Amino acid sequence: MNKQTVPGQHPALLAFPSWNDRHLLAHCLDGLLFAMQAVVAASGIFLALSGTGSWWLAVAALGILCGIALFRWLLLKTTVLNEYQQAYSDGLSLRAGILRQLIRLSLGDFRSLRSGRLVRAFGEDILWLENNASSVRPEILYNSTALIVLLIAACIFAPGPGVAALAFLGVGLLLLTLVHRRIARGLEQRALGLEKAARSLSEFCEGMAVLRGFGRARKSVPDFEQQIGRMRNGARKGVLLATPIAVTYRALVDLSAAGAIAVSLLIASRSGGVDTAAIGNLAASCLLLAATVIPARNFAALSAMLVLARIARENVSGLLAYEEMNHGDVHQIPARYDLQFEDVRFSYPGQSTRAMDGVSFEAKQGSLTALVGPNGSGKTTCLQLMMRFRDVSEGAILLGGTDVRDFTPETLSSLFAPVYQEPQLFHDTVAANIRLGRPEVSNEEIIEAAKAAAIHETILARPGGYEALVAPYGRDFSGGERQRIAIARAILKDAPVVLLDEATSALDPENEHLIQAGIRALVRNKTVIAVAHRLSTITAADRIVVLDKGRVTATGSHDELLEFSPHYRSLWERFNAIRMSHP
Amino acid sequence: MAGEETKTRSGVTGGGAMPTLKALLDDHRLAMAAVVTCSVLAAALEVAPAVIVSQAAQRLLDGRADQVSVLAGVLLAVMALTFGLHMISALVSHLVALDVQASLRKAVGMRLLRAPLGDVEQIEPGAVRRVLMEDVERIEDGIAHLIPDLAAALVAPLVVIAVMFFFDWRLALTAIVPVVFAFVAFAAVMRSDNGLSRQFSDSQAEIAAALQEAVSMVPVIKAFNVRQSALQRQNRAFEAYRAVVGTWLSSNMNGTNAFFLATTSTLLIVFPFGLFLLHQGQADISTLLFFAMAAFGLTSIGARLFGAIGRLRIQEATVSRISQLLELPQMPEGSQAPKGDDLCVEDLSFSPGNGFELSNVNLHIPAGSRVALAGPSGSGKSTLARLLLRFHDPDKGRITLGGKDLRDLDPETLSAKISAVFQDVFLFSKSIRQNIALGKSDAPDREVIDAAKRAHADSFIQETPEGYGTVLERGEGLSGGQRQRVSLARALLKDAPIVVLDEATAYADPESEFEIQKALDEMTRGKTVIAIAHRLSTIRHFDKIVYLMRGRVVEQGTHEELLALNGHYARQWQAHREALEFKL
Repeated sequence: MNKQTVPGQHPALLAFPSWNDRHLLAHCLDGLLFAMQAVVAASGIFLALSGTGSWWLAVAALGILCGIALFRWLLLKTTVLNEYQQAYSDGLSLRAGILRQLIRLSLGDFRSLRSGRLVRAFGEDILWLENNASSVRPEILYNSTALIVLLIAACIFAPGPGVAALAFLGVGLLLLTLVHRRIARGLEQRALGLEKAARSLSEFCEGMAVLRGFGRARKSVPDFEQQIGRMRNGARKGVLLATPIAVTYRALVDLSAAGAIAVSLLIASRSGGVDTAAIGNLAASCLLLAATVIPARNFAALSAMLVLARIARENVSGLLAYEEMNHGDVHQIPARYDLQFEDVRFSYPGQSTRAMDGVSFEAKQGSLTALVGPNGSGKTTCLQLMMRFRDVSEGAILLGGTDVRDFTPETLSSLFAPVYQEPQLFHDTVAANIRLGRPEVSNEEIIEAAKAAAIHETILARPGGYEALVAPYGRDFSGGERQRIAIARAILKDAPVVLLDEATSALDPENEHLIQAGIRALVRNKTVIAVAHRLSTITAADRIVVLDKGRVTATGSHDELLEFSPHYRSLWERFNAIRMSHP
Repeated sequence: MAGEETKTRSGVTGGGAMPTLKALLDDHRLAMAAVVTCSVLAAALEVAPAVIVSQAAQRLLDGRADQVSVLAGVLLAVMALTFGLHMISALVSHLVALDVQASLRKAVGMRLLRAPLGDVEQIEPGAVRRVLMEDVERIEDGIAHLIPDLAAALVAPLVVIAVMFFFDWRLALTAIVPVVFAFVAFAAVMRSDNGLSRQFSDSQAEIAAALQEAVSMVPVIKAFNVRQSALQRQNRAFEAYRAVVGTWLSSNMNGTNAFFLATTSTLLIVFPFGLFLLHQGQADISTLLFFAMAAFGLTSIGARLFGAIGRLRIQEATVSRISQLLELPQMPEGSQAPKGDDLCVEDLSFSPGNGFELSNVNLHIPAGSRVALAGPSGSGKSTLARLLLRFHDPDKGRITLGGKDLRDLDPETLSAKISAVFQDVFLFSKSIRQNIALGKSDAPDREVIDAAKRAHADSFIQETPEGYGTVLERGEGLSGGQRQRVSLARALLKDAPIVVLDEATAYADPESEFEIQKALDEMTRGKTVIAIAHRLSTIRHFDKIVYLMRGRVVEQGTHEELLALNGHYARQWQAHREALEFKL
């Protein structure tokens, strides 16, 4: 199991604070020194009241306070910058680590991740973890050390009130926590009930084009307003329940200190004539008790941020916990590129029916094999299994006699050049999109590939040419242009096996002939596996594999199939009906 | 009646003016004043323990111990009062926040009701939902916490300092030295910012975007075995981030540390100075005690202001995202009814600012005719079709339906006249029946089923768990082609005399191309049809083909006439013929 851990992963942000962390100790020390200022003041007043006060007391206090300030400055200077740098740099490593993990996952696991979860991981989760490392953790140590020191000092001067304050605070927090849990559960349930109202009111806005198109928009306004009202009323009930608790939490801190002070004042007033030393003790402990409010108040906000960091940690750790696929170690490029499916069975995770149920066929080197069949027949799954985006459940896929699972990922990927239905471009230069991460490729080779893919002219006609930055998701290129760039990419890769997944589909029917020219250049002298709907494009295929519900119903040439396969014949008739039925 | 009401409503929220957070708060001016007052009073009362303890110590020293119990009572009463003030402030501010959230949601909805659909289309998918739910929720922090907290953070130290001056001005002066120093440091940090914090959040956003892109590209990255170190956008974003963080930290850290140290070293000068005055006999012990306690209390300034700045920035960004929707333009609405179904485009010019402009387009579409809009991609054919549906209003010229300018028509009458079949299909989280009967909610089941049958949707609807009563979760569980057919059933039931269709619809899901084609045939029978044509073979029998290039009509006529012209259309036809013959 251990070999599955992702190498180079930086768990720093995911780890809980360890006590030997130099920085965290520095913050404890900082909190101690901060509290010591109040202790110095309390002692000074105690000494002054017990009559030992003289000018040297003032000098000593100044000396100690300046010493504390100086020491704290050095402490902060040496730790804080470092800590922030560490947090941000760990944040970057963690982001890279998550991405690395996503790339290594099988496509099946990858697809099972909800995109919202990834957006959250790369967005707020990491920010909360960075924030946790750079601020929350240090603040918690700083404040809790200060609080403990102040309470201990208060108890030393006058044990009674100090202990009373502590007990009051403890019992109050305990009670509130119990109540809060119950209320939080109630709020959660209420939120679930409001989800429907929330969805309905946002659909009014999101579906506005449809509502207006069907003359339904104005008629839906009363319902829209009603849903808004329901959400508000639900939230109101929540506020009336939760807000008093939150306010009481906050007040408890102040009240317990004030209560303890009031108690000690009452005791002092009852005992009548007190000596100055006793007054000194009283004054010192009151000062320290009042001071505890300062660090204690911060805990409410800090604990909220701790919760966010914990949620973030769970989400990110969950992503990193997926196991990557096992890889083989065959580096050698096979001598031939014959592709063989041997009784391949495969089911998608969580589905009982098999997506592939005993598929066998062979694609000879240099031949064109077409996969045809209705939706869900397993055509695209075949391509994914070849490239090991997923792994077969049973059976095997052999390339030149070697199981695809035995190749190293680099070798396997070097054997295939895929062109997908939806071409994807990076927000990088056009040249980089064609080169795709291979610095050794020369500019001449890139231009050569672009010419072959019939996209060279289009690139040159744009300002910046090959060095122009492609807009995010390639939005500034039409679908057909994107497809031709993707084809240029595949031509440049020059892999022996070309996989076409609906590559000629009508992204840009006006320029279809250009895409076709590119594909012609790409498939020259290659072993080609094509998934196709427009059956007219593959009538010349060496072999057509007809799939239905994960089984091969027939294989053969177009003419053979028309003669022997009723299934293929019905597909062909349907296809022709579409062609003819257009008005 | 409901229509009238919403019109005046959107007139109030709209009217060109941006209903910012402030404008919305104006409706709750009194309540917010109460919130701020309560929270400021509570903050002011924080000085009470220091005053009371020092007075008690004085009484005890003077031998008037009997009065101390009264002071203890006062302290408890003050704390109870503070608690009450906090409670009122928190409850009222939260309730105001909820009202503002409701008004914001309503304002967004009303704005969308009359915004040009062309502008609405441009909004990134999911953005409306994010604004309505996440951003509007975030406003709560601004109203319910940030406003009262900031008021308290500013007022509390001022009250403490004022009381200090009341007791002893010399000590008060020394007490505020660290505070002044802290504010100087704070100002220095703010000044040295120079847009750095903006750059910081921008580069953070760019990292998130770069990683998001990489995630969407994972299949390509895998297939081409792209090394992670070769992902340029990610690398650039990481480097930019490192650089910004470096500059930010090195320029800010000293100032931030100084601010933190100064706000937490408030006893530094005042306490030794107080001891000195005490020794000189110029101050008494109770004054010293007050100053020690009050000065230490000033350390809370830092903690209060520290988080507020970041939260304020978040609020700014949130409000600006909400405003983007609230600033959508509003279309004028008429109340006339068209006489007949003839469509006429007269001298129309339009530039939406994204390159797809139209100039001087003239076009007559008689009722019942079939017209195709053709041309290379980017020629403006989709823009023209959208103008016919009044997704936008033209800059110059006009479009008339039955002799009336579209702008003078009642929007509901217009929508009853024209149906649009576009590629993106929106299904509501309601039953399939309700989704189909959207434009005719009183349609009997028989009509709904009939429409579904004609849209080739009945068979798969019957297979869903509860048939027509199956509630769609935003259309999930249906394939693209099935969703398309449900929406076609919807349009069939509506039965508008004019149909605008983007032909790409038919190819959106190659699996159901056949059924969709059949449904489209059914739907367009006997209607005026305006088709955005991508594949010329599908429109050769149309009554008229309008060929556009760069926003102008360059050729117009039947297929045969245009072929005879031997111009642009003929050339594209030739290319298309060849494409049809393509074989691998």
